[in-house]
Amino acid sequence: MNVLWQSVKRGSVTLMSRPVFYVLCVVVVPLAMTAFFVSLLEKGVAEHVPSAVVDLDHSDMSRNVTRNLGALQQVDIRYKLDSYAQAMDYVKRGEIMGFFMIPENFGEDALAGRHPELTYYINFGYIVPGSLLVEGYTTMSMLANGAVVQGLLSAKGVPEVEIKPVLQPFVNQVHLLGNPTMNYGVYLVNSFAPGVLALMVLLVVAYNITAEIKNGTTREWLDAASGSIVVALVGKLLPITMLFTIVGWTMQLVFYGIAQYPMNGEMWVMMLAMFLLVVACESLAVIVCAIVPNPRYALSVCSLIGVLAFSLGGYSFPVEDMYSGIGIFSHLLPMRYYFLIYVDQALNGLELAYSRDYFMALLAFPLVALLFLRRLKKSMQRPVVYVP
Amino acid sequence: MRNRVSDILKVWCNEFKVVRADAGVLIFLFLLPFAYPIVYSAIYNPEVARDVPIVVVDDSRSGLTREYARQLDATQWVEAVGCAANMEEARRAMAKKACYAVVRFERDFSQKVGRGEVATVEVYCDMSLLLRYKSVLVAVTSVASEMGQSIQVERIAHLDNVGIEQVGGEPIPFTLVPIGNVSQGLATAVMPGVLVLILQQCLLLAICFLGATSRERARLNGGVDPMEVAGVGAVARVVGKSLCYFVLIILPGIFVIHYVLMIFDFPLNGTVLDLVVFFAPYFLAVIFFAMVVQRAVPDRESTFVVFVFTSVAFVFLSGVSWPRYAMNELWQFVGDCIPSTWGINGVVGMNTAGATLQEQSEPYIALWMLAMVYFVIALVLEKRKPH
Repeated sequence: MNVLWQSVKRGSVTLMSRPVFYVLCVVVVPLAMTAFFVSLLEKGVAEHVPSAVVDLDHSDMSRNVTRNLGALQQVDIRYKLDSYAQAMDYVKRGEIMGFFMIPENFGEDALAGRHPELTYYINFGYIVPGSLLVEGYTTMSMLANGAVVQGLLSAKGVPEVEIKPVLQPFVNQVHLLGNPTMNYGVYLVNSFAPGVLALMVLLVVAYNITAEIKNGTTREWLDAASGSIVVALVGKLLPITMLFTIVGWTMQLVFYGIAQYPMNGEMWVMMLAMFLLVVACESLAVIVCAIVPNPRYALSVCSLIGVLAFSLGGYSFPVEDMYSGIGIFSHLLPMRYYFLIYVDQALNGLELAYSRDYFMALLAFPLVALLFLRRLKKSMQRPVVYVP
Repeated sequence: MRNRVSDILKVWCNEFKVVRADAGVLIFLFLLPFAYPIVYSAIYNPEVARDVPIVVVDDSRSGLTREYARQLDATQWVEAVGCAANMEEARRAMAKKACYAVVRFERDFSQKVGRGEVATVEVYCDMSLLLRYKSVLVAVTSVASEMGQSIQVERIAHLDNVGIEQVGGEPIPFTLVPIGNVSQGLATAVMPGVLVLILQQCLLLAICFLGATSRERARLNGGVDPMEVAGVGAVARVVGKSLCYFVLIILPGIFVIHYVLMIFDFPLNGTVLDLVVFFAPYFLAVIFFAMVVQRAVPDRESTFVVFVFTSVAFVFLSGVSWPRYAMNELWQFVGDCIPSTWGINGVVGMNTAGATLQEQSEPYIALWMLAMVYFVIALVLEKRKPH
């Protein structure tokens, strides 16, 4: 017990010997990035997409279409332009994300049944506003169609009928489970902010362990633990685990308490998942340090894992749609399992049993790390001296 | 004047030696920019979510609903992996991630169609990934309109003797023309910007690494870095070093912003001359920016800890994911101060939307301004450095 205490004390002292650096990396970066994401995405929906209308018709009907388009939430008609070339120029300069073209003689042709075509041009270089424009423009086209058919029928003397079943025999009633307003913050912050925390855990642990090599203090580190690598690691990682877990829980408090992101499950389950994420990432960093016991390479590998996890973790692109030779690596990422637990528990409010495999996977990381301890100990006993 | 030029040349040549001796920096400048863009692009390259598994709950059990489900399955967007007897069973399939959406036909679905009413298709969609949701939405929307068309024609004909060809189908057809990103995919939208960012981050890491190493050597050597050129002024040091980094990034730069785009078939609509002219101030702004922030790094290894996470922040500040017009003013301003914001938007404008340099003059001028501002700050910091 005394040995363990000694080891923990030494671990804490190494942290406190560089207070600014560690406070910055352990506390400030994860919390500042959380604040950054939450405030960046506070609007939730990127509506009022800057766009334009090119009205070549100038009839009552085309003016009506323009007016209705302007009334849609998704779209902000910033400009009314006179030609395609002019509108493309605005797109290229980045002033608008897309535009709606009303052809010449649109009103006349529509009422005569000559099928004039409405065209919308959307810059999909920016995918979020692009998708919103599709939504807005499609709604508009439906409304325009309704108005035209209604006009045609009443011109032919057909009494007012309910037009909707005629135009749209089938209607989709789409239920967005867990995120009904399609809040981009909910979708993104819940995966990216913990991803930043996981990256920092990997880096801080790899830095802290390999700093012993760089400073030539590996034997001193082992001696403080009476030569036991387990005690030595516990001494190092216990303070780091505590700090990161508290920071992680603070982040969750921000998500579910302040930002009011959906929490359809039990809070303690997510807190447990956060704790296990921290431990699993620490274990991964230990494994990396055991394989490449060199500050530069260990940190390079951890950076690579931590940054690739943002895409490989399937936060925005589904793992099942990646090339299988690539997608398979997502299974090696603790962040992936935390994300899947979040989806099951906080977003979808499922029973705990559905997430058990993900909890098991997170638990497997420390167990696998145990297999590498002998190797880590050996390289700590005979460190390769390193000169900058 | 002549003296100054030879000082700059001395620093310039010396910095190549310093770089060549440092394996870490060589990794950042020559391994990272060649390997990482390929890996990254390959992850996103399938572009869109195809054949998202869905489960059908058919309470109507009619020929019409079976045909409807077949039509959904036939789209490239979703795949009907099974039928569930009721919503409870479908919910369980969804919980097990056997499917990501449930499509339910109400009991009197066919009857409603027969009576000329609106028949509702209920769609329950998992929202963990917007890309899957988007595919499901495209599938159900397009099938609803295709399946509805023949019924529409019949109903209009039934209403009156209006000529069917007059209003049949859609009275006003509409066409979507995507600009630049024809597949509307994720990779083509995100990667051209991310590639520009990768170049910034490679330079940033390499320059911070060099700065920290120099300070470490100085610490071991009574405050003077033995590998620096002695007896030259601050201007010569800043200009000489930055020219060295500028030369070093040219080759990786050409690879990343031309060949990677070519390999993955990302849009390449900008002209070569415009892009070359545009990237000059971009690289200068990034180099001077890095020469300013390198002072924040105490030792080599903490470069990773302090700077790697910034990639995530910078990519969001640039607006390729969440658009800049929807950000508050604080974040718009912070984004304005980072070279990658202007670099990414300028390059996306030219390569994806096909703009000319004139049409992207705003980011171009902004990059020159950032380069000047960071150059002055770097110079001031270099002058204050003890010697």
